[in-house]
Amino acid sequence: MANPSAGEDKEKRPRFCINDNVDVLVEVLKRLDGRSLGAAAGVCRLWRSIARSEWLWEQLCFRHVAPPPGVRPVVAALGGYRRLYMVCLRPVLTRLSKRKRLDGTTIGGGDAEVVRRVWTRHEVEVSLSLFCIDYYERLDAGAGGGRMGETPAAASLMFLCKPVNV
Amino acid sequence: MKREHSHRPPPPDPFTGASSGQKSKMWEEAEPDAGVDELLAVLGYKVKASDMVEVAQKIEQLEQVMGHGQEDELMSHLASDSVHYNPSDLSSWLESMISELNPPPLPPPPPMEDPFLAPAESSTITFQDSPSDYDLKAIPGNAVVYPQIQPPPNKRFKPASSSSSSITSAMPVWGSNTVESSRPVVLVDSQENGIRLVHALMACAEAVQQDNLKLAEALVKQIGFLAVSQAGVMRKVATYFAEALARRIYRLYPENPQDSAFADLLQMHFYETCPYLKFAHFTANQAILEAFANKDKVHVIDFSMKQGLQWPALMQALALRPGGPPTFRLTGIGPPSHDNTDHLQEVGWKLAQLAETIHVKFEYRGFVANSLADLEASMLELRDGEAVAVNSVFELHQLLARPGAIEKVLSAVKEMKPDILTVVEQEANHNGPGFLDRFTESLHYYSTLFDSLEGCGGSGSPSQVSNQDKVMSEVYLGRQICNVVACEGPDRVERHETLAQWRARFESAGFEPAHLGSNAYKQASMLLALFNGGDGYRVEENSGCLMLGWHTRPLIATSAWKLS
Repeated sequence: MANPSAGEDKEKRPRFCINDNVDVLVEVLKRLDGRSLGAAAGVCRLWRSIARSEWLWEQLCFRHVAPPPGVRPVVAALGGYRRLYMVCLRPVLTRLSKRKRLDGTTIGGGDAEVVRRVWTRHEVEVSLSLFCIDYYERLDAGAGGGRMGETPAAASLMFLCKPVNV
Repeated sequence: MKREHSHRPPPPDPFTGASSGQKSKMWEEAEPDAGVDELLAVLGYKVKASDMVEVAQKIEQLEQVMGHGQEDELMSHLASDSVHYNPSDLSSWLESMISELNPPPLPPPPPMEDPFLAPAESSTITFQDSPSDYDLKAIPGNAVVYPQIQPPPNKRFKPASSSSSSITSAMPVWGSNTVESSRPVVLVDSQENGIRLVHALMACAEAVQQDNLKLAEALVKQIGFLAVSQAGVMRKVATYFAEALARRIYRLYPENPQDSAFADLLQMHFYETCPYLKFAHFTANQAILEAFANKDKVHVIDFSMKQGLQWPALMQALALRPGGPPTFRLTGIGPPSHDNTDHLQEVGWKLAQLAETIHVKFEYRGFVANSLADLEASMLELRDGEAVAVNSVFELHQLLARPGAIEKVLSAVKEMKPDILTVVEQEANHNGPGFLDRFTESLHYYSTLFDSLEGCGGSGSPSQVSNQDKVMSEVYLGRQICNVVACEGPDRVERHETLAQWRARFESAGFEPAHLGSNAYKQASMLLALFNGGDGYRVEENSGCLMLGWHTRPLIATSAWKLS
């Protein structure tokens, strides 16, 4: 018998594969920043289906701020948390994280800042308002509005999409 | 080589018959001036072709003087590192221009030996009689600062062989760039033209006020030339004002825009390009939201319905408020549309869709009215137990065109018993009795506004909100300019007044101020920070009202009022 103990070990310790442990995967993804979460959707089909779930993006949007009551159906109806983050919250945070030092030079900006940043109730409120305006403007374009996901942001939010002159 | 017409017209009260006659005579005499170098003449430099030799000599001297004195740091800066000052930053370059122009603003007409200094004076020779009106003091605010001490012009151009002390003593004036520029500046034609452009605009406005249309006409043409030589903000602003002046002079009054669809489209672009309207909406909504706290039934009466862009954000905020949304009723008032579409109803339908999506009970009614003064509280079907808010964004000033209209509207508003009245208006006095004052004020105001638009446009950035939006926004503002300058009487509807004036009016009508809270301030600041060029915008609090401005100049003001 060639190495009976090794054979036993092999049976007792199955190789760990994250894809077999979805609850662990979810716990990990739940803690990611927006960019990483978006990237995670490109790994494989399983990851994609999880990383695109509204629940995860909801966790992201309200990671630092208590969600206002009744927000979920509103956001869901206006286009969903993933869209809220991509179209409104992330650009808002990116812009606002370009803070000025006291001597007038600008610091920050970029996704790395957004990862570490804690955002406030006001930023979420402004994002929600802009999100609602976005939905309203798209009511013209889309066939009876409310299309989830992939339609580009409405014109009035274009100011958020422009590269910022730093 | 003396100028033929260098005699000064007598300094009377400006533009009495006699002197105006002389002036127009001078103008006519100037035209058949043979032998004037044509290229320079277009720019207004009346230099005889025969004198070009002297001009060339002067240029050489200038170069010598500038290249000379390597030991003097300042001068070598000038020689090698000269930078054209950016004329689109209107107020600061005007400031630096005035303080750097060595000769005093209105000197006696110098001989033509100094063509590069003289033109500023010699071409304005015609206007020297009424200095106080033509010089840039007339432009209010800090756009122009008069230098206190003026060394005489000749010092600068002494030949290089003279003592260097006289040259270096003149140099500090070059080096003393005021305020915002810290780079050495070289006077270039376009800057001279910029100054003369402003002079010409003011002179033309004064001529119009004096009803001296012949002179005004000549000046308008000159403005056209000068405007083309400028770039950026100055060019655009001057062009719009020149067009408006021309319309007034030739009585080609703009038709009052009956096409409200186009006006709405322009306003949409303005909404997207720069933060003014968004600021107005967000701050007014915050006041309304606070006034509606704990109310189950709310009714908003909007005097400025347009595309209804203000209301989605309010409805969303109501939907998410603790305790859930109230029943939301909206009455939208707008002008009649001239195609067959029922524009107000379409907007209402969109808002209803949104309301259904976010589960807010919604009711809508649209009212078409030619003027807000036609409105009566009884038409609105006010119900008991409703909290009422009345909202007006850039609408009330139009009522000032007809006597009694504003009073009627304010008393109608009082009958509606609103919990809050939110008003957003331009922060400027474009309704003074004198044309020249209005012209000056609006020149300053719209220059600042156009300045702020420069940062918003998509210059160089690949995005959909780009130059087209910016241009549409400029057209939107241009129409206002045209109305302020070219129209009179009931047609002149852009009768902006300052917050202080509105405050007096509201208080005498029986309203008292409701302070906008810190939430509104924070939201507004945050909103502005999101815009490109966000550092230029400033939110200011002024006795409970919020003002949005560009750098030091407030441009729009949001205020809230309740019944006292």
